[in-house]
Amino acid sequence: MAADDAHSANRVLHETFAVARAELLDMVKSIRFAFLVVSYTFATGIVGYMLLWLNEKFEGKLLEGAAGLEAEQRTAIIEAAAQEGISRPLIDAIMNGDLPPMVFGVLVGSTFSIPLLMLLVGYNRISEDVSTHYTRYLLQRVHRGSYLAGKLLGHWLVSFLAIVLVHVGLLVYAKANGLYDMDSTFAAMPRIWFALLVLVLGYSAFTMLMSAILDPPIRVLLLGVIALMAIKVGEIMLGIFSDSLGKIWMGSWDVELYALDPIAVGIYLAYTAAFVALAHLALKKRDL
Amino acid sequence: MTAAIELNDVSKMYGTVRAVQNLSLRVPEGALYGLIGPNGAGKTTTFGMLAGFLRPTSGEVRVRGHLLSTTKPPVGHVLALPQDAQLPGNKRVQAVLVHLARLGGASKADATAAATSALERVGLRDLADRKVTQLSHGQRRRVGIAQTLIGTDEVILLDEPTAGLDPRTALELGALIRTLAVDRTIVLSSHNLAEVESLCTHAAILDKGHLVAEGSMDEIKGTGQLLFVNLAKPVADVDPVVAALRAIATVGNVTPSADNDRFAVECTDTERVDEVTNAVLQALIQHGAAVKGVERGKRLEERFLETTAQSS
Repeated sequence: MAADDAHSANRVLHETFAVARAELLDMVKSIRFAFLVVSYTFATGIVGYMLLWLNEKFEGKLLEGAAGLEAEQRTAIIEAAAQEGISRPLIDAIMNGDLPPMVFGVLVGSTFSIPLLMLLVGYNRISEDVSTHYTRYLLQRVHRGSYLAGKLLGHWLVSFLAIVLVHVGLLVYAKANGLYDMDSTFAAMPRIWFALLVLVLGYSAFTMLMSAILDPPIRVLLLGVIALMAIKVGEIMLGIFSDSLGKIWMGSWDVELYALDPIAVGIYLAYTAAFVALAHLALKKRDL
Repeated sequence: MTAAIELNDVSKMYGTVRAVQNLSLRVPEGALYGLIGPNGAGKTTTFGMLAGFLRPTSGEVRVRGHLLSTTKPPVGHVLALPQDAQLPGNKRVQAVLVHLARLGGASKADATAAATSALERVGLRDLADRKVTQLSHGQRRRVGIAQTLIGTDEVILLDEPTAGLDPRTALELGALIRTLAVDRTIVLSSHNLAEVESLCTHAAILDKGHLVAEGSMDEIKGTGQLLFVNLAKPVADVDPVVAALRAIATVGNVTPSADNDRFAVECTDTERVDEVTNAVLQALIQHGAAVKGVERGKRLEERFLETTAQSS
């Protein structure tokens, strides 16, 4: 490598992909990936079964959706939902059938597990390198920024891959067993996966921030879990005083994100950018 | 001679502790440069700043003219063997080296070839498929050295490269370091003064974060200024011998040892040290002395003890 191009954009990009590739291979082969898949399958499967069971109890009315509603009923529901502060894109997605009730219910019910699972899978990705000083071998060859970007990219893609694998597995299972109307579900999946890409990116960035500013890894895990819980509690408390304050954390926008509400997407991306910037700053300032 | 590495007025604080204080160093291009000092002298901190792991609190570090910063680390210029860094224990040796090579921009085929060649050079080819945890301390050290052989970087930093190695392996690594120094600049931090003295062309002695001596090995040891003549047995009458030696042109002080079996002879003209050596030997033989050996300059160990004692 010519020394002159050591800091070129191409070089930095190459480093990022090299780190991400190694992360991907490393994590996919790890026991934690299997843990992520099994745990998320469990969380999603449980919620799905509960919804199907409740639907049966309500004689199929629960998951019927808005298809059978009269125009007046639809208008009334939309107005009532808008008054409750539910975003218009979300109302439209549900009323138009873009977000089938079953899919929506399962996602809302299982999304709570994603931040925690992602933290469990990625808490040590940077902190372990720092605490063992392995970074001293790595950072002779890659810039600190590329290292962080590669770690983030790897964690993001692996987490998303695990979620998609679970979804595909459950869809195949549901189709094979005739559990639900699968046509509308299949049609909704691209939008769901896009939303999850954004959601997972936000929590990957959060995990990398925690891993970049703290070590050893066990401290990252403990403080990460505490931080997620504190944020959730804080969000609820703030929500008591004001609806707007209750929506200050990106996690409060999950439901709107599944409807691809541009505001929700923007909030997630803004948080992601802030986490990445803070993590980069921390790595830049730290002695490694 | 141009500088491969320059430290200009560099200081490093850990909280309120000043590990390195206003250090200015110049490592010439192509030198095999020893960084020595007692424990806590600031060697590893200096090493860390050269490699880009540590940020100087003040001052600047330049490698081949490039000012280092955390956004512009010495990537592409420097490869280092850090002292206390661990390689991932659950990975195989070859896989670790291939990964590091690929981070440096090599294709998979080139990285595999470079890893194999590096392991060959440090004598670990047979252990390529072992996991890092299955290696001994010395073998891990050699893997660490092997990774500095992957890449075309012009400066190699080795922090205590032979620490914990058996004498044979240490000697082999010494030979390897000499061959590497043919076309690269090497900075070697070590407690092993004999190793530094035999390998290095230049050295710096640090103590309590300060530079206390720096220069070529000849300058530090005073090779052109001091002769030590060891005798097989003490001379009976020392005064005429001292007078005869002092009478030689360009000889300054002459100091016999307490047992009169060793003479320290100061040469005031470093250009004429060869002539002075011959004249001193002739004079001693004429006075019936049995010469056992001649050393030029002080041993590095002596200079180390002198300089570090002065600074404390």
